[in-house]
Formats: sequence, structure tokens, C-alpha cells
Amino acid sequence: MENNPLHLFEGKLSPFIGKGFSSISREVYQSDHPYLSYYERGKHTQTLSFREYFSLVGSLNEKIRSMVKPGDKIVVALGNSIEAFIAYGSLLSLGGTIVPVDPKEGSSFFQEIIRCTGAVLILSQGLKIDGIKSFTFNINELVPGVFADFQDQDPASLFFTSGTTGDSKGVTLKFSSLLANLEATKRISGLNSGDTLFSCLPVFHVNAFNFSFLLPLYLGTKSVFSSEYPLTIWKILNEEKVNVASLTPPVIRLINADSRTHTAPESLRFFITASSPIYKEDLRTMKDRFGVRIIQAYGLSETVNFTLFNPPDLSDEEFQGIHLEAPVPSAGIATWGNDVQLMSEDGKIIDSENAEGEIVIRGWSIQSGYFANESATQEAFQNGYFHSGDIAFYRSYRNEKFYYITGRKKEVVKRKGKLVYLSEIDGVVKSIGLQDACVVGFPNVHTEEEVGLFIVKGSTPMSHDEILFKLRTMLHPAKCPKVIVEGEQIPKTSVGKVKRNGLKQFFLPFRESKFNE
Amino acid sequence: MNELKEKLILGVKEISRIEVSWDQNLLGAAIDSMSLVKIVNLVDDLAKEYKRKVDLDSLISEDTLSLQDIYQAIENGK
Repeated sequence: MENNPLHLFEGKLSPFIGKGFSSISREVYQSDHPYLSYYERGKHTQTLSFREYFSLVGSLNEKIRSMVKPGDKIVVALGNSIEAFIAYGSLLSLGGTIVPVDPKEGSSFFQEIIRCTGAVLILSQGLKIDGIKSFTFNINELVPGVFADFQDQDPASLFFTSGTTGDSKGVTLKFSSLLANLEATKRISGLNSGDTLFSCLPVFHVNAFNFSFLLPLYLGTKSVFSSEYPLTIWKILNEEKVNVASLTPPVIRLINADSRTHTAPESLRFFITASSPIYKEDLRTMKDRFGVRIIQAYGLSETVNFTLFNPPDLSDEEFQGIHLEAPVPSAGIATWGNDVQLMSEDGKIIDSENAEGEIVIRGWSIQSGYFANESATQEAFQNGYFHSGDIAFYRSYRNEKFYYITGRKKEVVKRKGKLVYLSEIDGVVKSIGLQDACVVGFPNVHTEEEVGLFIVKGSTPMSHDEILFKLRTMLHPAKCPKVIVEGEQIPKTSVGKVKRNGLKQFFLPFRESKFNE
Repeated sequence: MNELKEKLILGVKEISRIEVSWDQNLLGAAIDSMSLVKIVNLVDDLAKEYKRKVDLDSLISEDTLSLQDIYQAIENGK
């Protein structure tokens, strides 16, 4: 019954979701079992037990309780610090809605986020933003005090999908959605309370927020977290006896690029990777050099984290057939609580193998809507499903549908985990007088994807340097094209729409190029 | 060991594409993660070439890592 996705839509929430974290044993929360082992630049700096962690959460609660009412939006700009973990715990227990942001963003970004959300407070390490109360704290200032418990609040968090103000969309996630995805992750991954998890991804993004911050609380297990990619990653994995690590394809490539001799710990079962497609060569290298299997998963902020996930128990033959002999490695099967389908342009479910369609999802993990953006919400939710914008096909193995993602319906580039909208850049390109030109997203091993500019030969008197100089003055560095390629013509559809994918091939030679910001 | 110095400076420059001074902290410089991994590979290769034992994990766990630190670690390696 639980595996039947239709069961999810009868309006019943399973008992554990209704009770939130209070259903988890208080014995675990009050125990001296380690919750967080924290590393900075590859060096261990602190370990907090569950008891110590919740004491610190309680202490922060006492300091900010008067400033936070249930439902208030609180911006958390604490990066990957240990304080971020405490702030998240505190805000969930006080009923505030967490708005996690990258502290490296500029002040205009913060102003826009605060204006858009109506946030009442910003938690940071010294950030001062006009027009909002600011609370700065350091872990050393917190005196262990009141034990706090999570409450089942709705909504729990508000993640912004884009790093710049113009295209930012706030994804509202209910506490029950976060919990449902934790349960889904637990079921498909086989993780349990005795396991140790590792990550070094941004905890202000939904992936590490759920995997490194919430999942260890949910399982009552240990989270080993590094504030950035540690050059000593194998040493940490060995010393901490890590069982499962959640990484991204660029991080996997860093590990594979390290030519020193390393031995994977016996405890390590697999690496999970999500956020962008993994290449077959990455899977092979990791397996051949270290004997470690990479489990690819798929999810969006809008669907919390892992909507698709590859079963870890595939035999070598199954792994070979499903991943290495397929056009691309599979993104996995639907996780518990998610009904995943492929949909045609005219809203029909596609139910035949190898036929492409847009991934659409419904279930417990799905966002409740974009914050204060009804039109975006309506556009995303159609035909009873959330529309991901990703194109995929499926193949059946072991009586399960394994999905393979082949592209994006929306014309966006995912650069270092952030979405860059090509149509916006096109507008700026046109504004400097380049009419026969368009921007193209192409794969890049350093940033996941990068932005290139295609120009029709002889269509402008400007040199490449002049063009790039002008664009740099008008665009955020992440959005600025990094390379210009000239060609004969821009392929277009019969109605004059640019076929961007037809230009991608011109930029493939730059897949391994490293560009300055 | 002047040859080692030269290989180190040229190698790091080629990898990072920036000029770094002898005592500058590479971890604080604008060097991306992939280049840092390649620099560690370079140090490992140089240590092998000069038949020196270097505890690289300890070296790269420090808060600072300069060309001078790397050179001394290789030079002092038995």
C-alpha cells in the first residue's frame, strides 16, 4: 500500500509526518551520540552531540524568541558555518520560516529578498542590511540552556532558486514536505541510525539542508560536514568511518582528479550525486580507482531533494546495463511519496519506453507554491502535476521505471548549482546591438554548465574583446558569456524560434576550459 | 634544490594561471578547487621525483599553504 503512489493522494498523511520530529525518540535528542562533526579547510574543529546541539539551539531560542513569531520569515546568511546548523534548528523550533541565502551575495540581492519576503530578521555573522533587524552570533556566545523541540510548522523554509533578484523564485516548502523526503531518502538509500553521513555542499541549498542538517536529526545519526571541499577528503572519510557521502558531479571530478594513492574506507557504501548530470567516465573512474559506486539521484528545490534515486542494491550486471550501456547514466526510480510521470506537450502521460517527455511530479515532497508569485505557481502546476522543465525518457528494469534525463525544457543553465536564465542574457546581448547572436549553455567540468555566445559571422564590427567588455559591465559575472564562437547561421524553427540545442556542439571543445569570472 | 624551486614555481603558475609570491597563502589566493587538487598532485609528483617523504595530508590541513611551505616540506622530507 505504501508503495502505491495513489495512496498518497487520499488526503491521509502517515502518522509520522503529522507528529514531525516529536515522533523521533527523545532519548536520541538527549543523548551524547554525536550529531555534527564539523570541519573547516579539511581540519576538524568541533563535534556536537545531540544534547549539546539542542542546548545551543535552546540558547539561541532564548536570544531571538522575542524577535521571531510563528510564520515570520527569517533570512539566514550564515553560509556553511556551524552557526547555520544551530540557526536552522532554532528557527524550526520557534516556528519561523527559514530563508537560507548565500552570504556572499551582494547587498542588492539581500534588499530584494527582504522586500520580497517581508523578512523581519537576518541572522548572520556581522552582515548589516538597511531596513531590517540584524542578529549576529557566534557559537561561543551561546550558553547551553533550554532544550528545544521541533514543531510541525507550515511553511518551514523558503529557498530561492536563482542567485539574482530578477529571476528569483521563492520555493515554499512545508515541514511535512521536508519530512516526507527524509523518509523517502531513508527508504531508498537504506540509511539507518548507525550510519555516518558526509557532505561539503552549501547547506543553504536544499540538498545539504536536508541531507546534512535534517536527515541526521531524523535518523538520529551523525553528520560529518566540511565547510568546503576538503583536499583531505579521503582522510576524513576514513577517520570518521563515513558510510554515505552526498556530493555533486564537480566534487566527484575533484576526487577523481586527485592522482595520489588513496584507499576508500571499508565503511563507505556509496556516494550520492545530484544537482547536475554525472558522466559515465566519472562513474567508471570512481569504481575502477576506488571501488566506490556513485548513486545518481535527481531532485529540485521545488521537490525538496531526491525525487529520483538509484537503488544501491543493483548487481554489477544491472549497474552496467542501466548506467554504462545506456545513452546517459540513469537518474533513478521514483522515491517513496512521489508519483513521477513523463508528459507530452499536450498534457498526456507518456507510457512507453524510450519516448521523451517532461518530468512531472506529484506527491508529498512537492512545494506548496512559489512565494508571492501566483503566475509562476500556476505555470508550474498544470494537469495535476508539478512540471519540472526537465526532459527524460524511461526504461524498465526489475519492474521499475528508470528515468534518463536528456535536457531541459526551460532554457536555463545550471552554473555552480545556480540557475542562469538564457533569455535574460539574450536580452542584454540584443541591447548592445548584436541582433544575429544568441547565448548557449554548454557543459563544463568546472562549473557544471557555462554560458557561451554564438554570433553569425560578419554580423557585427565589434571585436570579441569589445563585446565581452560591454557584457561584463551589464551582467553579473555568473551570467556573462565566457567564450564567443562565430558560425554561418543560427538554426531556427519554422516559426522563427531559435533552436539553441543545435548550437551546443560548437561549444563542446570548451567543456574542460577554465574561465575567469 | 634550486631546480625543485623552479619546478614548483613554474608548475603552480601553469596550473593556477596566476603569479603567486613565495610566501603567499595559496589557500587564500584566487585559486579554484580543481587547481588546488592539481597543485597537490604536483607536490606528490615532485616528492616522488626527489625521493622525499612528505605528509601531504598534514601539509594541506594547515590554515596556510605557501610555495615556501611546500618547498620546505619536500626539502625536509627524509
